[in-house]
Amino acid sequence: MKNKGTLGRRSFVKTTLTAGIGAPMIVPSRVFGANAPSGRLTMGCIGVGGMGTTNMQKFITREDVRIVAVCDVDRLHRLNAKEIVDTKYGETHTCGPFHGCSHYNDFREIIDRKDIDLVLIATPDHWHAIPAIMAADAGKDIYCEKPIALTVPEGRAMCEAVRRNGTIWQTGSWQRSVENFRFACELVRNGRIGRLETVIVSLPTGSEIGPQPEMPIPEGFDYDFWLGPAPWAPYTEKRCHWNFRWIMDYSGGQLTDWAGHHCDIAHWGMDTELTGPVRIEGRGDFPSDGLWNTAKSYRFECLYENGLKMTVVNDAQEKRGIRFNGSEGWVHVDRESFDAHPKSLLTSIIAKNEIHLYKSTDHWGNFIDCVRSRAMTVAPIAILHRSVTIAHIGNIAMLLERPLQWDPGTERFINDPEANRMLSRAMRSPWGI
Amino acid sequence: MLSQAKPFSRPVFVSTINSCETLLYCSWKGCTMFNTRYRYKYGFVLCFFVFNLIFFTRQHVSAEDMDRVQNSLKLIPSFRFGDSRAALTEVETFIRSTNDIEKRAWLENEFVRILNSDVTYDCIDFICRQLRVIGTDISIPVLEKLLLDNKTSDMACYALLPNSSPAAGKALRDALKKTTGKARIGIIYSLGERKDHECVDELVSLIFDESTKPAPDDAKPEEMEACKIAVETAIASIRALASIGGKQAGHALSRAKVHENQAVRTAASPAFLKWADTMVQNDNGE
Repeated sequence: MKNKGTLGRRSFVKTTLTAGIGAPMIVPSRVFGANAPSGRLTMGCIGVGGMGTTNMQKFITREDVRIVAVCDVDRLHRLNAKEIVDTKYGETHTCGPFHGCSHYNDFREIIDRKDIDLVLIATPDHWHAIPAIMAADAGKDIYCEKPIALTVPEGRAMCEAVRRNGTIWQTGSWQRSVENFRFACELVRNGRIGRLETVIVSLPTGSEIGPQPEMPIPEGFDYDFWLGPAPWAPYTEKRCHWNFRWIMDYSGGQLTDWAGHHCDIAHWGMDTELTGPVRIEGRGDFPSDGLWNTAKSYRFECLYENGLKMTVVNDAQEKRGIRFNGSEGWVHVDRESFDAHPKSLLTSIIAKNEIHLYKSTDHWGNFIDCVRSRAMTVAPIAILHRSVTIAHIGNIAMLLERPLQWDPGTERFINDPEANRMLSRAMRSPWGI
Repeated sequence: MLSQAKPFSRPVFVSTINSCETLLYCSWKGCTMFNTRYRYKYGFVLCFFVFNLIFFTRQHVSAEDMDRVQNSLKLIPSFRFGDSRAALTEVETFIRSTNDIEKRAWLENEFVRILNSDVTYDCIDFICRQLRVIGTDISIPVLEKLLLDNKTSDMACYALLPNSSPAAGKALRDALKKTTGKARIGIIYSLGERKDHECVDELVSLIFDESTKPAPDDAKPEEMEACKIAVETAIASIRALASIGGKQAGHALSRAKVHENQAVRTAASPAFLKWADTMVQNDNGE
């Protein structure tokens, strides 16, 4: 008879892996700031275009972080980023001697460097999964822009890699570190508007553009690498850099671009951060011609198991932001506005014995603090994966133009093989995860 | 030529029910103006009529729709990037508008006919994207041919990956043995994602192939390139085995952790952890 106290091998593997303590067994030296004269953390930046340099500038001012390498497939971007770093560190001699920031075309050169502790990923969405998983497997902690990934399965693979490796992960969903958004969610979670009934999430309206001609690839732009795992397509200016957002091969439009902000805040207030809807239905207006093919206008409804309903629309239909509607009032919050009914809610005090949500006042600082303490960040991958999943399945529901049932546990549609076929995509060789 | 009403299918039924919920309710409420004696009799008849009208109308693809699709299909073989994609959108709209098995089979056969003719790459790209969603065994033979061509292999994988048919898996496995280089790497990742256990032997052999040994310093450029491709193939095989799981895969990954090639060793360690995850999820850890 088996001793009840014995932990069988299967149970051991299952327990340790699911608890995330199976690996690594060695605590990273960056926890103690070891091997660095100043205890400083080193960072490599992958993707230093618009959002990449914006994020990089948040870290460059920190005394406890040193950016030692930048990477971008556009030589202009990476040389620009290198100049920013070299100039900053060159003028502040208190940082000690600085021999120049390295720059690479291939992100793997950053991943392979043993002296780099942290990685900042600000590439287009279709380039999130591969470097993130490789960085996690290489033992680096990661700050990655939202949305988490191009598809639900990619996001899940990233979550699992982060869990397996004990990676500290911060998503670029900085609204979680803004007082108004947290306070709005605390009002809702503490019942200030009564029983929460519906949530309306209003995001920016999409765009369209006509057919575009094939163009010569600009000098210094490694276009084939930029395409990476996405299907091959001729180069045209309106495909790349900022405009990747409007093409389904690389992103999911305004919907996925903003789901990591407003849908995430909605989940935070709804207390559904680690789950998802069970039913989704809606309509979208997708361009019928031209290069860009993501939804311009959209409206879909998500029904949750607890009876809550989230409606996601573009801002031509509702005021942008998140509106929580309860049985006794409502709260509306956006970056520039915060309103409620009754008005007294705006000055309500959350008592000590009430629900207080994760407080962060500096999103980038929160990441560094958590790297040292190994605590969970304010925007961990497991939660933000769920937020963007709403956008992914919303896009599928709108493309199929019929209601879909979703299982948030298995992350599959129920009884709908066609919808499930649209969840994942083969990557262009030689890329894969 | 008119289409026929579609056989009953759950997604269409649910969608139709949702769409005409309001209309049925109004119909029923309208019947309340009748006195009780006739209310239920005429009310049910009216609702039944309205429901069927909407249900079968949704499935009805008109002659005009079919003409438009057929005209669009004539333009697709010569489609090139930069052209208007109105014709492509017409075909996509047609696919979305009907779950009629016969109509989709007809369209898939048309796709096969087009792919077997002289077409542009952009046409192949478009059709493979549609087959990703609606492809059945009908299109597998033509996709099998595309798998063997370096230029079209990626899009063939794109179409075959989510096709759960055993024939799709066989097509990928057969192509695994006939391809080299990047085409083979793409097929390996697709097999991994499909968790295809039948390709494990082949994948293991690719990990420990002679050509993965580190190339000598004085190797010629073509030898270095061949080694590079062999290593990328081995790494893809390692990752695929991690997704597939199973004892044999685990043994291979364990051996790969002491492979002669550094890059293979580096890929093997995290893959082994992922394999362990896969085993737990499959609940067959031993």
